[in-house]
Amino acid sequence: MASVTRRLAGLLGACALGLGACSQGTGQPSGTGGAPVRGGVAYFAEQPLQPPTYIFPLVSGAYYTEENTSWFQTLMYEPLYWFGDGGRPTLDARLSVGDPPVYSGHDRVVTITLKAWRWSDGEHVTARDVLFWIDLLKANTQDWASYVPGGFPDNVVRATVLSAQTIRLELDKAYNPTWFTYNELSQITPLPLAWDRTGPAVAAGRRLADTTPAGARAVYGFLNAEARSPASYAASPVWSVVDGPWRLTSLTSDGRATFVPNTRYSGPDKPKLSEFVELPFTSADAELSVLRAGTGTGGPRTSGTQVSVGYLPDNDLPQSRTLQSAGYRIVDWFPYQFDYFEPNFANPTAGPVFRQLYFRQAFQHLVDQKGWIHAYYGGLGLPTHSPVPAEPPNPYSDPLARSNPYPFSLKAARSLLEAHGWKVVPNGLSFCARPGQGDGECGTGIPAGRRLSFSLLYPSGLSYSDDSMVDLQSVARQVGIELQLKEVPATTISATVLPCSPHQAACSWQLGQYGTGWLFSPDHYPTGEEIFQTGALGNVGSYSDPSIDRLIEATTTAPPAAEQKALDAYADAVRTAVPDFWQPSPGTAVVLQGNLRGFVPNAYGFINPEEWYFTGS
Amino acid sequence: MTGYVVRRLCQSLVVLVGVTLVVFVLEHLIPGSLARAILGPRASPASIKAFETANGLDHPVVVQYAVFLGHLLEGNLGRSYRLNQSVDSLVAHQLPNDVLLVGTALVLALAIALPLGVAQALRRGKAFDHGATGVVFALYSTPSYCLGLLLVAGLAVAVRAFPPEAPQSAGLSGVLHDPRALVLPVLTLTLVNVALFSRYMRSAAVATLAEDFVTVARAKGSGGLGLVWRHVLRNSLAAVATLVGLSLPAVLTSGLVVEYLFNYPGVGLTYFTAASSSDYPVMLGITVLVGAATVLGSLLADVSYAVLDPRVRYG
Amino acid sequence: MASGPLVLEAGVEPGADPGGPPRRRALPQLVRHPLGAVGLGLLAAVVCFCFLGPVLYHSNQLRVDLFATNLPPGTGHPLGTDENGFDILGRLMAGGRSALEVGFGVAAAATAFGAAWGAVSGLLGGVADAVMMRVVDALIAVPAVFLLVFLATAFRPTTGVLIVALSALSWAGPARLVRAETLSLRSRQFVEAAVTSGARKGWIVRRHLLPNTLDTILVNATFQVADAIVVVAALSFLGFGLPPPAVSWGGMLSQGSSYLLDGYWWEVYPVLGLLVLTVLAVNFVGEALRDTLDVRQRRA
Repeated sequence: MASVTRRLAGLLGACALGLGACSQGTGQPSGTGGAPVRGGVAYFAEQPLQPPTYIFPLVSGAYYTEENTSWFQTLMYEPLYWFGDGGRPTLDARLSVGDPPVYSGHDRVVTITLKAWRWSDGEHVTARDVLFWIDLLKANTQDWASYVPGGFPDNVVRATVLSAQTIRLELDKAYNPTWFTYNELSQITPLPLAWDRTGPAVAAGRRLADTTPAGARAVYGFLNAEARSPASYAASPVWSVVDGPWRLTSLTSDGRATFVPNTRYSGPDKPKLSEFVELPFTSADAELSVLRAGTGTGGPRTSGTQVSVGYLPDNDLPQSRTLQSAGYRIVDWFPYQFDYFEPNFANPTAGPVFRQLYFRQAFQHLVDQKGWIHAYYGGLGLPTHSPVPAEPPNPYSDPLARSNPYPFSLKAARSLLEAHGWKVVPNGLSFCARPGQGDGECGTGIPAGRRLSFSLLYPSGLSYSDDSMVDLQSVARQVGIELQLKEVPATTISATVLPCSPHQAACSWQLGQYGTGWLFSPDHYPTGEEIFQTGALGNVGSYSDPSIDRLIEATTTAPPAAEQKALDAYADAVRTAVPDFWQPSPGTAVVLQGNLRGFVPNAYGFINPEEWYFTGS
Repeated sequence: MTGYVVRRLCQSLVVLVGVTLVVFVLEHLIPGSLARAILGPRASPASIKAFETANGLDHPVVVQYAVFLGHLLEGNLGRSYRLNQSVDSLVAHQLPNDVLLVGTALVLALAIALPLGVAQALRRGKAFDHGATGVVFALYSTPSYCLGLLLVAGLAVAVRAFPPEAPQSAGLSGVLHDPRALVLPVLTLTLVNVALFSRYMRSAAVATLAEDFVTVARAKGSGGLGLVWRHVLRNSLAAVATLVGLSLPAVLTSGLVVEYLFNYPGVGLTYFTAASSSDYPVMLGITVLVGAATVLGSLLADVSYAVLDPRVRYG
Repeated sequence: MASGPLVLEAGVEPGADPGGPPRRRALPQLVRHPLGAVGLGLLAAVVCFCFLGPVLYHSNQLRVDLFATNLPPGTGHPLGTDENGFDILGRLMAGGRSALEVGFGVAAAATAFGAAWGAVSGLLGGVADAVMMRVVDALIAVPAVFLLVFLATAFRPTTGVLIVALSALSWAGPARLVRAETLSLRSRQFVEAAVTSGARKGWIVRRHLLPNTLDTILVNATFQVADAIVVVAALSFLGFGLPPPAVSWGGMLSQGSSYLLDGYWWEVYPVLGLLVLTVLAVNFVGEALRDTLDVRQRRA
């Protein structure tokens, strides 16, 4: 259709073809050069109204925010393995406490050796610390946000400490080593044995309590109680035992966190800053105001309110020039994730329609990812075509991930619908003219005259999401599909978009949009067992396809020689089956003070302030 | 009078309980699973069950309400699901911010509105009167978030006259550390309130000036003028007292937009965030406080008016 | 002589004595009042713009045009386009329609319901009066934000739902106003006469009370229109606006405000100006109305 080719032509002119973001930033991931200066304070902007609220790494769903898990706890308590290496979504062996795990016994046994690191109280980080974590998890799975029934730690049959630095895990069956390391071992944070007690005052020479389930529950109870009062974190004798590069010196009720370097940090990169401060903000507007009014160069000789590492709110991408002329640098950050919105396969009226593959394909043809990225994401977005995305560059995706099996095309959508018994009424309501299960007919469970009208829930507060849905509504109207848009707070979406059975009241939702993508964290290896498998926790649309289930099973259990093939098979199947509708994955424009060096965007969202430093310029 | 006050207090208590009941019931009518709203979309069934048990959500609504009332009587306002703090500590920390912000704006608005209203009344029907009405209403008609954004764009970013953020350290010490930081937030609130207040002051002053004995006093000349002013001021005080009383609940909730724009966490923003993120304990706790402030403020307004205007009597 | 607790509401002056000559001479006097003339004139202009404008000026408000987003004023788009490519001038007209509809709708509904409540409460007196007024207090005490969130999550916002929601939050004002008036009127002879001669309460309300309180109700209703329009604009900022493809000034303003610092002035100032002008006009009319009614009362 003329309008479609017009759209594409215009976009090709405005934006380089391909998946790279055509953003307004300078795009240098990190700067080097300029004489490094010791000291200085780096100010990190927290996300609006998301202050650090919980310090104990065994975190429950209520406190499972990016702030707590990626920008607070990991600064002090090192996870066993560090993920995200120089912008790539891979394991960083150098920064990890544990050496790369060794699989044996037909991939049923994992042996992990720890480096000779120390806690700040002088104790070594030992294999016993890892066992402590596993014991706690096993007894408290209901309080662990990332718990998947049958996953870690359920799939560890026995954990044995072989020596001070070595632990062996025996698994319930053979797993794909990459999968197990990236998705299961990624959930381990060694904890100091100083925490292994049930009360504040503990006698010396005591027996460690975590060895029994009841004991482990009691220890969790004690630690959770200690974590109930954020105002007490800085001075607490419990939380001050750290093995990470930073030590918390103050946390205010509003969420301003101040860290100083942990002088006993054993890792390779010692902090060069004198202080690392996280600043709370009530809105993105407030953060931008401080960026605009603050200084573009930081370091020990500056003072006043400033932001060293902040973000440019999505609406204000045109202001990148202004910020750059004030001395800031802008770096584009894309997390390793795919973005989607969910159809409810169990909804009584919409479910049968969604279950038809041709309908999902037609609907996907209505999503103009390139157009949205250009118009609404300011160029700062990556189209999603596959559940194993090709960007940021990674070793997992196959070449097919860069191609779009369902490009934006009203013509294709229309012909798919008409070929399957629908009467398409542009600017009206299309309806099923030929019901039935045969060729050229609508499909099972779709009565004659069923109209294509759906409700679509989406979250408030995200302008690119609002605008995209307006465009989708407008485009869908041209093939006679009516979308009733409903904007609700994000938590209402979590509360409403649920797996359900067709005749429950909870099943009235039809299309749901989270506004945020599926970030591969802590499941860092992009298999789909948590979202596309039948009955998976993230499978809120009640999607079920046994052949896809088998392919997913293969990715989690394949031996190393076959893992890439299994992953490709899974990715290709899901890519074409459209179990949910793909949409662009937004990036963030990270704003850095001009003389701050060492910042590298981490594909999973973690930060490493110990690598940052100011230069004299 | 005492009898009246006592009766009103008793009634206020009933009203307060009624308010909490309404909010409680409405919360439970909101569709969807509260546990999933809090725990997120990937929550396991065990965590959902544990959350519901730990927070008493598996009991009938009546029982939950009774438990809530019980806690309330002990002075326990509840504990946030998300912020890992008790409502008491949240409010205790943020209320001084609100009092400072809204209180200052209130005082400033009154300080401008009182003389303005009287001046308008004295020059009633003239160009000054209409002009002032125009300016003041124009400010009132502007949504406060627009006004705030314009002020920041103009006075904090384009011209670095004031900081773009309100004071970041808590309470009075924060303000003293950098008093300029409070200027823009207070200005935003004040400009919107001046209209409301001056309109009211003007009509109060007009009514007073129209009274017979005032006309006589003015005719008598400057000696009588002192009498006029004292009478006008006294009646205006009555109006002021009413305004302050009825503005009491606003101290807790009206700062929302300003807090949002100027990075000044306060009760208003906390309430809004809690309402949007299903953090019901915070919502209920603050509702209790706002309700108490409302009924108290209303009572204060009525009583002070009676005290200051001898014509008013309560049976 | 005020005989009850003072009510802080627009339109009530302390010490005002209601009742007086009939209203039919109000309109000519209103027009002679400078504020009234300006207000009515502006309001008429806005109404023409919003309701007659689309007849003369056609624009696309349904079909997104991803190539025409955020265009400055120029050919084909006298006031530029917004982030979906919709023409802003056309949007102003559509938004004005919904703003005026909601504004007048809320004023009508809140005033009608509130006046009836207050009149009945004042007339009944005693315990019934106390209970009814405490219900009003309770309504004021429930924070509006919560009610709005509840409504946003439980219902799909349409103009009707918005009108009902805002009316529910605003009827307290007219109720207290009318009650105060009723209390003072009750003691006057003609009402007592009606009561003693056995007239039904409803008839008394209709025949005697409402006509005499109509002045103050009218003034209050006018200010309600203005307040409702401003509140709707604020609601969009908080996320409770009308869903697309409905257009509202509040939605335009809150979307445009996020571009304020980016230089897209045409997405902010025109709608802001129009909003302020309309609310100003309504406020002027209300103020003029109050002045003229008050003057007449004083002369009576």
